[in-house]
Amino acid sequence: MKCWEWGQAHVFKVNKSQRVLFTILVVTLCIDAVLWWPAPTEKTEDKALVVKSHITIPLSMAITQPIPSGLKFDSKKVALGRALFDEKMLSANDSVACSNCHVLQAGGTDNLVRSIGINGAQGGINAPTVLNSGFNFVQFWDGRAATLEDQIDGPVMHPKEMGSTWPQVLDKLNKSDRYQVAFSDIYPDKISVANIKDAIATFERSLVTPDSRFDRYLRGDGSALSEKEKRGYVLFQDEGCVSCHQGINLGGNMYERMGLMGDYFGDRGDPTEADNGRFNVTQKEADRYYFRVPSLRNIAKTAPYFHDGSAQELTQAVRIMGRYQLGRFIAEEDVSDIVAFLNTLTGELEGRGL
Amino acid sequence: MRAHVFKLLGVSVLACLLGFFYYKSTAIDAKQHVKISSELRNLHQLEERLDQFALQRRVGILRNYDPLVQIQQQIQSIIEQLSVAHPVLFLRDESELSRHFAEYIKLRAEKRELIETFKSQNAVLRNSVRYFPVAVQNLLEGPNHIKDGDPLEVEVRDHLLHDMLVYQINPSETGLIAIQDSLARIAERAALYPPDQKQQIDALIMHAGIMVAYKDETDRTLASILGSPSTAVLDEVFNLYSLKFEQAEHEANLYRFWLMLFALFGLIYGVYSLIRISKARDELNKSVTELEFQKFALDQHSIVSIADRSGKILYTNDKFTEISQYQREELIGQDHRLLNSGYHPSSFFKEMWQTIGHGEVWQGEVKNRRKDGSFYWVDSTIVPFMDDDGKPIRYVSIRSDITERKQAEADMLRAKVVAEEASQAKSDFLANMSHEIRTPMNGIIGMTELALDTELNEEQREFIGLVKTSADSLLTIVNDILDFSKIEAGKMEIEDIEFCPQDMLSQTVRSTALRAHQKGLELLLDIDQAIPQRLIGDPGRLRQIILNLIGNAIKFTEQGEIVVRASLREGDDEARHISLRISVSDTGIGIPADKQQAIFESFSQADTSTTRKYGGTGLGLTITTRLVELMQGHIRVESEVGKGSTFYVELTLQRTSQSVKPKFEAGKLADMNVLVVDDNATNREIAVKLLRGWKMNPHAVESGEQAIAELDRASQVGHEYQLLLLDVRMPATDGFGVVEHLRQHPALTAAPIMMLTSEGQRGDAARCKELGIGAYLLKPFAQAELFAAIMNTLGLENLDKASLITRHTLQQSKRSLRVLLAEDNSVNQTLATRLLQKFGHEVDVAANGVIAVERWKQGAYDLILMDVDMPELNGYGATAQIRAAEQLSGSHIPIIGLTAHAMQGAREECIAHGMDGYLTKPIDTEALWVELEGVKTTTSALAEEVEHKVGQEPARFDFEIERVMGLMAGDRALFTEMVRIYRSDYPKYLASLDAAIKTEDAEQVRYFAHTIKGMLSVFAVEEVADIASHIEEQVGADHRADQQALVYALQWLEKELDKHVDSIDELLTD
Repeated sequence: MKCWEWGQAHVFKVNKSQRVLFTILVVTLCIDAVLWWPAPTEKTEDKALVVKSHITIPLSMAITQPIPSGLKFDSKKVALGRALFDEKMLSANDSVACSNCHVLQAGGTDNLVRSIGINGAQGGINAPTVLNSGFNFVQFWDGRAATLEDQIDGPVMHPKEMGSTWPQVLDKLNKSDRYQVAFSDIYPDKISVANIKDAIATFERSLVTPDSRFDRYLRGDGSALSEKEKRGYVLFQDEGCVSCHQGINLGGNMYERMGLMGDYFGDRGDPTEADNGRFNVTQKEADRYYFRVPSLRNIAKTAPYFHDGSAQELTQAVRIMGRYQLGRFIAEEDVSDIVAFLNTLTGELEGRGL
Repeated sequence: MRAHVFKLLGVSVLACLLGFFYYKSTAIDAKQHVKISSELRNLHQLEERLDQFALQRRVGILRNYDPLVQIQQQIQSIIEQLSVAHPVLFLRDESELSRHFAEYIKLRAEKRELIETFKSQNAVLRNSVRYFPVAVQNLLEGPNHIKDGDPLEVEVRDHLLHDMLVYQINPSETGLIAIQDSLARIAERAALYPPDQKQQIDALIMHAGIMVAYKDETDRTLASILGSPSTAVLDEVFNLYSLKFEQAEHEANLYRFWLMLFALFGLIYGVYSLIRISKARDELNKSVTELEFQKFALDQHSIVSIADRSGKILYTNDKFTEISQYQREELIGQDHRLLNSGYHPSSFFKEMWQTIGHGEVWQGEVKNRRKDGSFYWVDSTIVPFMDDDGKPIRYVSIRSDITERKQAEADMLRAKVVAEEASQAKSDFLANMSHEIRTPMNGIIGMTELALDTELNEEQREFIGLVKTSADSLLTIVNDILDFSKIEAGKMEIEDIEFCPQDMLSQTVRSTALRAHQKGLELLLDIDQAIPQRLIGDPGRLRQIILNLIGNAIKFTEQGEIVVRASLREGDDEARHISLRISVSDTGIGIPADKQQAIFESFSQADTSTTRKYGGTGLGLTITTRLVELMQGHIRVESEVGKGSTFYVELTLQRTSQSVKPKFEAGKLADMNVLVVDDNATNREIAVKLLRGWKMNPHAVESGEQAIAELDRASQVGHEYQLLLLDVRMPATDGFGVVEHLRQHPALTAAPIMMLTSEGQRGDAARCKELGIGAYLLKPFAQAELFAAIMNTLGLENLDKASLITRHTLQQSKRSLRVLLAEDNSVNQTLATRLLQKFGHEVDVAANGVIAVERWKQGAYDLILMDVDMPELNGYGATAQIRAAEQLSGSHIPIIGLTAHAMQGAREECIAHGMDGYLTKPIDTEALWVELEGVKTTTSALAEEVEHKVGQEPARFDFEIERVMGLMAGDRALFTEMVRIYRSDYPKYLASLDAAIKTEDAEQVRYFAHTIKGMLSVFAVEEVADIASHIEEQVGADHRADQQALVYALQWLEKELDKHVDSIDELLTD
């Protein structure tokens, strides 16, 4: 190139390089646009609104309302949660899964007075049902877990239940390709404690049991309940059961003292640590013997009853409730009606009757 | 470089500022604000709804606790969101907002507890409230009811029931007490009843107690819930947040404003820069286009190459390839050594590299080699370009092919050399010719004179006389021809020496006076008094010019006068140069107008008949013209046929630093009355002018009669004349006649008388003496001569001492020398030998330089006369050898060079070769003595002496016979013999002298003058001898005046001697 042409080339190259730069810029922008295009958000209308791990329900002034049907939950999370619910690796010796104590088809409990944990260790309190636990305002009899997620810590780390630690659990789960795949499918950060909890909790929330006969009756189907059951429902209200067993879950939304009208624990004898109830959490004397009011849905399936599992049958339970909580003498035939009513509270889990 | 850094810095700062402003301006997010605001408002609403729900539950409108739970969950969720999303806002301890928020959270927790408590209490209350009426009914009308009229019944129905109702509606302390009393009474009676009833009563009491107790407590709890300041705190949080936001918004706005401003500024600057860049680009394009033109043009003419620091070629243009035959690819990356022709030494390139290495432009002519091995020359300019560190980064070379020019230069050089050689050949030829011609001529003339010196019979004398005359004429012609050739060959040089113009003019005119007077013509000299005493020029050539003009004037004038005038042309008195006009006017035959131009041309006279009638080669005027031209002067003629001609020569001569106008201490002459008597008007005019110049009072008359009449008149009037100037030759009464008359009538005047005469007649001097005339002045006379004569006549001192001649004292006694003569020419050998021997010297002859040196070694000589032109070894060589040999012995023998070269610088050349002096041939012994003495003096001193002469012409000659006889010791026979010799010899010597003067043979002049002087010394005529002496001493001067005087004097002497010869007997017998 002749020396004078250097200048020329430089002078005019500016234009060309400008063009090149511009093209690069445009291309980059296009690529960026493509890459960073906001991913379409999942339609929230489909999924149930969950606030603080609780399923949002419509406002109702009535004593109770039917469980909404058609509640949808993140199917992938539910599937994973289900798998984890059944996962024995969550326990120290891979012997105990959640489902051991919370048998789904059996009403969500193990129907034992107290559950058996790892190595045959007996627990200290009766297992509450996992079904419809998404409607409870706190978890555990003493309400020490505000959310289903928090609740998972309890059994996993309880020496008499699963006796494991999260690191152990993570370790085991990480070794599983299945879980790796399943987790990475849902969660960008794959297997983590929060994600495990999220999956299990989502699954648990999905365990709602709509379409009980009572729910149908509430919806307007007069034929869903028999006369006796209807009578039972009226009695349920008149006798004052609804004072505490109200709301969508017919309970599960307040604390109350066990032995309001009588010395339940004195009469029963054998006081345990668990008997202190809420006192164990708040250390306030005023909270001794206070427990979360349990849900009565699917109650027919979740014997034995009360935190100590002392009532094997519903009639017994009703009588105890009447005596110690309501301070009333409920006639036998009334108890029978109430029990009949209570039996109508059994719903359907995943389309199948319990 | 620094500018770039600053720019970069500036841009960075601006960018940082902009970034900062932007960051700060986006510190607030409106969307976020809306979100936070709405969340906070949401919280407020939820809290309020919570209160509502609590109330509703208490009242019973709401029949489940789910809303209370849900609302609180929502509240909790929002709180967590706010805390997590905006920890800085809500969780920073130090801000008021955060403190309030923390307060709210605390209150919230408290409220939560209260609500839980409320739930529990309310449940219990509701249960008891619901059951109490049932219990009462059961007790009063149930299956197991108590008896009507039972006081318990009354108690229960009328009191408890009533009181309870009242208390429920309007709780009061009294109401409470009433109930409690009632319950107490019932409890008292309870034991009286059967267990079933008692059970019922107990239950009733229990529930009533619960009703009362729990109502209070539940209401209190509810009041606490409703009265919780959590909402107020929440409001405060909201306000604070809003305030904070406003502040932040304001700040952000401010930053945004500055951002906009700076961005705008940046934009403007950007646009401006773009415009500038665009402009610059246009200019650049223009420049590039211009440069393209230049480059293209350059490429057509020049070889261009660019090299890097190490000399590697980076670029060459097409012409490079064209000339060097190397393709561009073969050159790029190569060193220029590729083209090295090997012609230049390495120092050449080293110097070049040093020059350009220092950043200086180098220019030079370089011989390069083409690819095919042939050579070419380039005129190369290498320009280094330096980088910012001052180190050369590029060398741009521009070369022009000058091969042809070089060739032309070489050719020209050769031609120059050839021309110079030719010129030198011409000079040598002329010199040689001069030498070759003069030598035999001198031989002829000299030998002829010698022959005339010997005993000859009349016939022989006549023949040889004619030979001499012919030889003289031939010499004149040859001189003319040589002069002319010299001029034509451009070899004539004009000298620049100091001379006295007055002297030169008077001597020159004087020398021709005799000839003019012989023809009966007046010869007058009129010199402007303003002409300085000394000028710088060539007096010799000037004399030649004037002599030629006067000679022509004399030749072509039959009667009348010839006036030589020298005047200053109009011009600056004080200037370095003066413009001199010398004119020679005659009253001759004139020149026809059509021939006036032609006469100045070569070889022409007025017409061919002129040659026949007047003789001459016609070269004289041509030579004169050429000489004038060589002097950068101008010559012209004004003439009228039959009336006469005037030739004007105009010259510019330089003053000397000591030019002084002729200064005459004429104080004493002032106001003297002078009578000038001359029949020639011009003469009168000249005399009057001169006299007036000395502040005298001249009056001129034109005849003797008029003079007498004037004197008569004057004496009567009392107007005495103090001086008389009388022309001798006047018609009617001549000068002497006037004087005689005056002597007879002394009353007329007592003034001293000076005679002015054109020719020195025999007997004039005697007559002057007789008549008691004070001074006798020969015309033409110079100013100074007149002045001196006047002063002398008047008895006043001549104060111009400077006019005295510095006489050169000679060693008069001659002793005999042993002379070694080195001369190859046999004629010259003989001549010289005889001359020397005649004067008593011993002479040994060597025929060439080699023999000369040998002879010198052998014998002891006093003097060597070394001819310059000799075969074998010439004079210079021999001298060199002798001088070399003398280095050892420490002796120094005088060596006088002999040369026939009368050329410039001959003397200097001899001296330069180690000789002590220089003579021209034939040898004059006295001149030789002069040379010996002159070894000590410089040539310039001699030259000075030559020019510095104010003639003191002895106006009278005395012949004292008594003294002569005394010298001869009374020997009559001797006297007679001496006279005879004198009479026979002096004409010859005169003739020889004349010839010598004509040929400007200074040495010969000297010789003959000396000879004559010698003769004269016998007769004790000092004045005459002085004249001869003067001629002898004034080397190179114009002797013609002296010559004339001498001629006259010798003639006069002859007459005297004749007179006395006859009377000698008388003397002796006395």
